[in-house]
Amino acid sequence: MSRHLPVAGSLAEPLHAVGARFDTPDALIAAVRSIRAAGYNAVDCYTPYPIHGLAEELKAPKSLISFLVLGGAVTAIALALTMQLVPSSLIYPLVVGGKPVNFSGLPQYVPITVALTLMLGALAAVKGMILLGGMPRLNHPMLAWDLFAKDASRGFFLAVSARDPNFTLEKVTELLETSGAGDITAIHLEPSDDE
Amino acid sequence: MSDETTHLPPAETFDYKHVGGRFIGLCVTAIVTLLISLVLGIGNPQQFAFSWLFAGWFFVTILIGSLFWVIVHHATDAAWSVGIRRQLENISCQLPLLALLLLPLLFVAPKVWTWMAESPTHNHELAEKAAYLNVDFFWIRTAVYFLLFGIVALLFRRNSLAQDQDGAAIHSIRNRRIAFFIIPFGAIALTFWSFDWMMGLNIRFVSTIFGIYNFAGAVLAALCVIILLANALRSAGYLKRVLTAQHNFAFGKLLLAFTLFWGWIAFVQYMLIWYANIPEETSFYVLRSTGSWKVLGILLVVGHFIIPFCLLLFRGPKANARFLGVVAFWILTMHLLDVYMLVLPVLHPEGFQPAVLDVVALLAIGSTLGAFFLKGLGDSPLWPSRDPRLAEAVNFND
Amino acid sequence: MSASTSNETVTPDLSAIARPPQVLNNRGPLWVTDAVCSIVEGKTPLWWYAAISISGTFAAIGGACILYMIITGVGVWGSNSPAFWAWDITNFIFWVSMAHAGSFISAVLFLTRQRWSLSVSRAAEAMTVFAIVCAGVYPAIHIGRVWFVWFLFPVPNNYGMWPNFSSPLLWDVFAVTSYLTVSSLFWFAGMIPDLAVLRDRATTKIRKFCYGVASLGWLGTARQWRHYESMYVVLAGLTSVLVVTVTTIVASDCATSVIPGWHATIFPFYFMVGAVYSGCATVLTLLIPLRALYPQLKDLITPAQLEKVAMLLLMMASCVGYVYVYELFCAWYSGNAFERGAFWERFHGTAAWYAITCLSINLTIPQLFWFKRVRTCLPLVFVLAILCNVGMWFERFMIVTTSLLHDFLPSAWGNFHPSIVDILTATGTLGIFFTLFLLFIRFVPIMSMNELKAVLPGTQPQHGEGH
Repeated sequence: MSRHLPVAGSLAEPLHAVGARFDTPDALIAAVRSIRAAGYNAVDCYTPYPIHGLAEELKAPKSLISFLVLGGAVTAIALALTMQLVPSSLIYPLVVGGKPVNFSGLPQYVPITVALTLMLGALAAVKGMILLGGMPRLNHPMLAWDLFAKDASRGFFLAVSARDPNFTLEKVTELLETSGAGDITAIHLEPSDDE
Repeated sequence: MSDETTHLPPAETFDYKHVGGRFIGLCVTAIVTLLISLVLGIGNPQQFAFSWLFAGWFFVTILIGSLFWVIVHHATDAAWSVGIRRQLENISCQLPLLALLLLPLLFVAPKVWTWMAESPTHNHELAEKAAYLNVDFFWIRTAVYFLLFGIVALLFRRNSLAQDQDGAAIHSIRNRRIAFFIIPFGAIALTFWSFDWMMGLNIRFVSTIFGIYNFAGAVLAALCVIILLANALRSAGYLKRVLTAQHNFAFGKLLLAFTLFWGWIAFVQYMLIWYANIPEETSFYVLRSTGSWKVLGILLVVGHFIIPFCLLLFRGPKANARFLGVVAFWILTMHLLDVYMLVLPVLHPEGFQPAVLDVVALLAIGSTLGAFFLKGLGDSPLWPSRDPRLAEAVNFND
Repeated sequence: MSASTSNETVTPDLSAIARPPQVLNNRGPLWVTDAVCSIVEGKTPLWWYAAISISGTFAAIGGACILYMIITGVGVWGSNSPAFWAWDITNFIFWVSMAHAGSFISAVLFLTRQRWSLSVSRAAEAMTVFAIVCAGVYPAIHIGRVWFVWFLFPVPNNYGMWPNFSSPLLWDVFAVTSYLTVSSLFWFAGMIPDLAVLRDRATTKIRKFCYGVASLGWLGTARQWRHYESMYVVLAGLTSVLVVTVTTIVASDCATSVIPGWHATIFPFYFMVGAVYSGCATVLTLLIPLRALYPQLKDLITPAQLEKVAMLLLMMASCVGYVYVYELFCAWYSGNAFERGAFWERFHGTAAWYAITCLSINLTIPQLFWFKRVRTCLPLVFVLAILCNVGMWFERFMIVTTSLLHDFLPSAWGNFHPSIVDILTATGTLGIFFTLFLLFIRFVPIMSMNELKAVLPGTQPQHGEGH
């Protein structure tokens, strides 16, 4: 059966995954369910916009970004207060308008602290999103599949990784076919010295 | 659309068997505490005046805050809040009763707003402001506040009840128009109200943000009350179909948002006054950060802002009604402290001095309002049962 | 009491309060992608070249003025005793405030699930970033000796000298820095999935490479979307709070002082609502012509959504009106001769026409939006929105400069006249703003395709089907 599968990438290279395309999010979710029920865990979906409930179906772990942000924010509070209080009250005390320069003059140190807290929090959030999402990267094995590379914004794609311990090409193809997938393709890696 | 309407939960009406004993208890508490405050008030009219104003303003903020949420619901054409709107209407419609309960202030007013006892000819500062600060105009304004908000609250509820009968869209549109009408007038009225009742405790003090400061507290307090009420009704088995965990998220998000809003306004008022250090203004904060008041002031900052902020920061716990209830109760207590700190330091500048009357006044006004609220609770369905947005509200997904 | 609410009763006609569709003409997600991408992928229209050469010229003249000012000194500006803060600070506040509406629309309205804002949020965020860039022109150059700008940062130095952290002017430095950083992040992060779409559709190698690098290798995996959505909510929350922080800091520049007309506790709120008001006006000013120039946007940026922006504008303008009322009332109520004098002079003195222009525009023009017929007539909305921005510029000028013209010492009272360099620098910032905005519509998706597609009818799985 695998003989009939269209091939992406170079046949000389090892198989990366079997990809399939679905027309609706419902079909995609149904396929994810049947494939996971058959015991394949190394499944990923590629969608043009977030699909409600898809991450739950894939048993993707909860995002830890909010904790990263909390870490960034707490660091920023400590840094900002140190940055202001050490020069203002120890190194270079500058009394203006009779305001206390030490900790009891806290209100005047709040604005900078808040601004920096939010900035570091935001940086942590974006950095977290990029790194946890496996970015930045310039290429990806999936992009060897022309249909996907051109049409990712149009269809709902699914790939079962060949690295899954239970992976057999025939079984996966059959499962995908029964769940109504189109354009089932065997995606091979591209030669590494490509281009 | 018709597919959705068939899934609408049937209307629920409150059954008194859930509160029977407690209702009687409230009535008894109301009568007893009203009598005690009468007796204590005759003995110490000044303490009575301040305590009554403190308790009164606390409930004014809750009622006006509830009205605000009704207005927001209609003005933004919201759907998620349909399930709690009837209760907000019920609360804000207690305004006429509250006006009645605050009548004693008429007799003790000069004890609390001391400028009333003075003559502009002898007090230069008062003379400058006499066009606004004179006794007649003061009471006219107070009457206008109660009339304006009271009438609007009753109108909202009347249209809402009419919609329960026929489900027509026109009632929603009418209420939306009332909401748009009241926004500018209500903003001005509430600001002058807080200027008159709270800022007027010390006529030397001026702060342009003061009205918004009181507004922020009011909105937050009303939100806490409605969360607590929704929890109570849900634990009695009501409202379960129209208020889900998704609505809890919305409650939690709004609690966080308005905690931040209050914190912002409170901070900028303090920071700008502290920074500029103009005597007329700083007197307000000097009084509230002297002696034992300072402890309460710090508690206010920590308790009204920092603690709720940290508790509400993460999304997960906000789905839990009990957690929200605890936070709401805490914030409400802090709002009580906020109002206390606005009123009582003027009477006891030397430091925190608790009085029996403070508690009694709170109980007297609170239990009377509570008893009347419970009595009227069964008169109408617990939510606007034929609101056109009900389907959207039930399926609300935060 | 026993209001029967059974389903047998006739269903009343609810069309009067039906929700307007997110996208007109039942356009599907594929159409949305094509429509938005076609602006970037199509041929550059002629008007675009014309527009960018005009705005570029203004920007260049503005740049030349700044260079001239740096070489010669701040004396080339009209700022002089008593108005040491004039067009520089006015324009700084004008631009940084305008930025706030973009953050407000995309962050606060996102958090409150106001879906109508999705169509305008990207453009509003872009407006935010560019307005901050324009605002950022002033703080560095207005110090006069721009080569000393490093004094503003806490850099350990041989003089053993540190900035004064209790000065709101130093707070400004941190406010603008973090605001520019966070709003750029918010804008860029929201754009990553859409840039990936442009990468996938790219036909030339250069485009593929540029959009490929810009989209950081985005593939749209479920895991990426999960982190992305989580990040977006957090970022929206942080941005909402940051807007308020920045506005507070900018307002503190004036309000921490004791100058009558500057010191008012309402200033942070005042600046906030004024900011969103002027920003909404700018969003309307930008989007209405854009919609006319790119007909495919007509179904995406619907009149109902622009009406919502107009209503938000009205709401904020009414808040500004509220502040006018209470500023005047409290100036009188304070009983303070200087306060009263400052406000009296604001409307009667030599510079009265600024305040009168400001109030007569800001109290009347936006109030026309109470009428549905006005709100829905887009050409009229466009003209009124421009007027609103003019009014807001005058408001900033009224606050910053006219308060200085009349303070405690009668001998120090005076007037202010802008110099030609002042004026050309200000138009230069306008040029910078429009140049950047024109580049934006040409090179990146002006609308958040992924957010829009995620809320179109039928694009999400039907729950309960497969259980």
